[in-house]
Amino acid sequence: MELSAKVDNQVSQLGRSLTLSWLKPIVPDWQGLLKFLGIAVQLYLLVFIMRMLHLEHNAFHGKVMPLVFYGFIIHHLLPCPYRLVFFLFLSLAGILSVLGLADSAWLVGISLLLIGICHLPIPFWGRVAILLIAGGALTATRFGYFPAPWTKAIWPILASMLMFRLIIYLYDLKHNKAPMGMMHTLAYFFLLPNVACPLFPVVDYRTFCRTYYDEDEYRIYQTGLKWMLWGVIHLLIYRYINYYWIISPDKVHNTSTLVQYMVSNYLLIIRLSGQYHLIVGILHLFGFNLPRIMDLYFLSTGFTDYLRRVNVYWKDFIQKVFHHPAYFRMRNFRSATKLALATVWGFVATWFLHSYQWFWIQGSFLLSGPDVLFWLSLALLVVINSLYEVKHGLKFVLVKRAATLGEIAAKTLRATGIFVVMTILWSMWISLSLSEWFSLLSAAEVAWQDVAITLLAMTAVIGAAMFVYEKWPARMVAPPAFFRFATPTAVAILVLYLLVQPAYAFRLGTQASDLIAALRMDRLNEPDAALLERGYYEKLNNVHAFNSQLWELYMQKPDDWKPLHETNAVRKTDDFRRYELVPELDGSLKDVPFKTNRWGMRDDDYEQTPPPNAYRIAMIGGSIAQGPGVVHEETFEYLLEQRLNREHAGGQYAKYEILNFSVGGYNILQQLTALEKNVFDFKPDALFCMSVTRDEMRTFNFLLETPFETIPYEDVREIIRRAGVTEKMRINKAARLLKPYNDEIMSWTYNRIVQSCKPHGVLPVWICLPLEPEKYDSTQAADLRRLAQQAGFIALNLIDAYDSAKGTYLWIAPWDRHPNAKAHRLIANRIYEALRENQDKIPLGFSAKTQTIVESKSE
Amino acid sequence: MIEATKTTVRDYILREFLPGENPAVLTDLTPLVTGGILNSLAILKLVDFLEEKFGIEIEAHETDLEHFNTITNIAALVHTKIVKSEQAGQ
Repeated sequence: MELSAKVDNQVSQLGRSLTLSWLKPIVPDWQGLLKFLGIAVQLYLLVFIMRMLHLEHNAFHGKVMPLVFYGFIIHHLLPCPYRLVFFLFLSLAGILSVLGLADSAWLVGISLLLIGICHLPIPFWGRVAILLIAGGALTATRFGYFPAPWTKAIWPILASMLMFRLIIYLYDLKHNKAPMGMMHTLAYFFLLPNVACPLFPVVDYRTFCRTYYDEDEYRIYQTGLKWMLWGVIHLLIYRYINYYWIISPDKVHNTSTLVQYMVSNYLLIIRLSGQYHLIVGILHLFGFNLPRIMDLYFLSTGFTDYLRRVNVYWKDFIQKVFHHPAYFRMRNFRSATKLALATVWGFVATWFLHSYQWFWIQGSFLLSGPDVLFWLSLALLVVINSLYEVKHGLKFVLVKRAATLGEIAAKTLRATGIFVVMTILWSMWISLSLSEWFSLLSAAEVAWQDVAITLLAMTAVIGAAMFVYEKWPARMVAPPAFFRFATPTAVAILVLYLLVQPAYAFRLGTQASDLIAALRMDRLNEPDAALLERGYYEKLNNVHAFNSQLWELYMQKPDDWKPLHETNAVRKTDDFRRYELVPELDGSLKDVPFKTNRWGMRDDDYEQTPPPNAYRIAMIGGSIAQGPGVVHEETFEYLLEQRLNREHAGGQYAKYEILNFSVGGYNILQQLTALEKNVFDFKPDALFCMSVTRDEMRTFNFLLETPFETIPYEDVREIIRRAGVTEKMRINKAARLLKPYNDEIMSWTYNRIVQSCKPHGVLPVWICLPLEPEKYDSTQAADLRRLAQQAGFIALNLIDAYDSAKGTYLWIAPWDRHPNAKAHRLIANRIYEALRENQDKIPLGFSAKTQTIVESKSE
Repeated sequence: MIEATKTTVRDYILREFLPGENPAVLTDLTPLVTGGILNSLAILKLVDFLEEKFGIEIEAHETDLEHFNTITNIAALVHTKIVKSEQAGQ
């Protein structure tokens, strides 16, 4: 009660003073006005930077951040008593703008119902029981036992707003720890940035109330800008690591790749840190002077210190609701026993709540060996560390002083140790299973001198950071005056603002401006992009997904959006292809009409025998050539055929036909089987083998998942045997053994395709299509082209097809990177250009006069 | 009595958590938790000491800033507990 009164008094005092200053425009507070304008300009620049960098996702930088900017201006100009109400309505406006009217109404309605239950005039246990029943009903709905009248988009937000905050709120309600006014309560549950950030810090209700305008308002706002700037910097570092450093487990083969895999994956936590800094920073702009989160956790000098630094909000929550109540219930136990048992209990709660959080966000419980072992290991380490600290290490200082070099060295060694242990534990945590983790470790040939060098390098980097941190003068002295405090942040924001603009970045040289341009793009890393391209995102149910952008895309995917092989558009075959398209189908797939002809092609109907004097092209390929998510008339196959007929039919050839034998999900070996089984009966003049740079990887993965005896090609089985791969081998190990033979498999397949074409007089043409607008896979395309040429293909490398459309959206959906209609038009034009350029090799009978490629330029 | 409690608490904090520090710097109003002098483990250790020394029982939800951020607050909490237990004993 005391605290409640204190906070209310504090707010009303501040309100009175601010109200008065607001009502005295005749004697303006020039210094205050200057501070406010400075903060508003910095915030404007930050909003602009976030938009330029496409930080996080559209809902965040496109909808929430503009609300934050305009909301901050109005909020500041309002008298204090109205600010909390305004913040609440701003938060509701944020929910409305992101989720739309219907979902917003459901979200707010359910929240109000649950908050209302907390205040029912019945005994506390009764309210808890009703809340549990309501939670059970929501759980059943989440599981799909009851139909939900809202879209699945609201689950993560609803869960994020309520699942932990209700527990904290009930606890504080029970112990009467904070003011329970309606505005405080509603503002606490509907925190503005939450609607765009499902992973949200567990804000403590009492701290939320206690820190509201507990300091000079301008200093609170400026601190918020500082955390937001840190958030942006964290997210840029994350992108750099994610784009340039991360590797998939199958690339681990020695000490340096093992270290690269482990450290880069551990460092991905920087993304969460960036998001949390942004969230806490935004809340500062509305007066909530919350503590800093994820504070230099790589410099933790102990496991208890790590917990404090990495997420003090979570640590305080677990301590308040689980650890301390357990500790105080064991009064008769020895201190060490109480501490150990309460700590283990805290970790059990953490593990369970982590799974609970995962359930609400993803819809399935997380229960995996690595997850259990991760939390268990961390619990043991923290128990040992806590007992040691209580016995020997609880020493503090009254006056801050600079650390000596000896102290810095000791802290560096401890921090390096923590970093190494956490990196190893993290690599286990993100593994799908313990056996996969052991397989990863055993696959790397570890050289101990490399380990020693790596440890020395880590110690040097951490030591340098520790030195700067310990010697940083700001830590020793009282906080500086406002303008001195604000200047570093303001300057850094200005520099960042200039850097993100292409006109200025260009002046730094090609390399730097290319890097900045790459960091501006919000895209997947290579391993995630490969998973998405394979259409295996349904399997992403591991904890690593908390850090994965791929998982976020997966969350947006409608339930009925399935890869071709999981739909009734295909039927099983008893050969190597596994499935084929159902003939004469008339349905829809990925939200567009999907029809097949009587031969089971996604194409117009054709007679088996070509018409007289027609030039017939058979096209084999995978999903990109088949065109999922676009109507048939938008596919590049259709557009190219139309153009050939429009511009050249009636010349050397009466007609051009392109028969599309592509089937989504087929790799090059399946395409070979389809070619030999179906294509030659249609008597084509040419074969267009449509390739993408991931063909090699896709074929490789397919072979790893295929029982060897079902592979119909003895030569391929022989290559696998030669690689040393056996049937029962773990997939990671098999992958490492087979990887060096990839080129040989591709080469063999290309040769076989060319040799199959020869007796039928078919001209084999290999065409490589782009996956992404950037050419980061150009080396792989060049390698494949070389193999295709050596095999006897006429090889056309067209991965530059999207170059004229850089920065344009070319996918059918954010979670499905197949080309959209625009991308198909670009591909059709590029193939047409290439055919014209290669008339001498591909005799399509084009007229000699040069035709302007109008469409191509209009793109 | 409160002054005696403050002295006991101050002496304990100086002995256990601040060895070698200048006692004059630690006043009754020095922020202990927000000033980084006591962390959560230190508070638990201090609670064990207070319970044993004064024969009181402190609740889990009382180990917060409001009660543990200054020596004055700690002494007030102890004093309240002692008074309550005396009233309960009568």
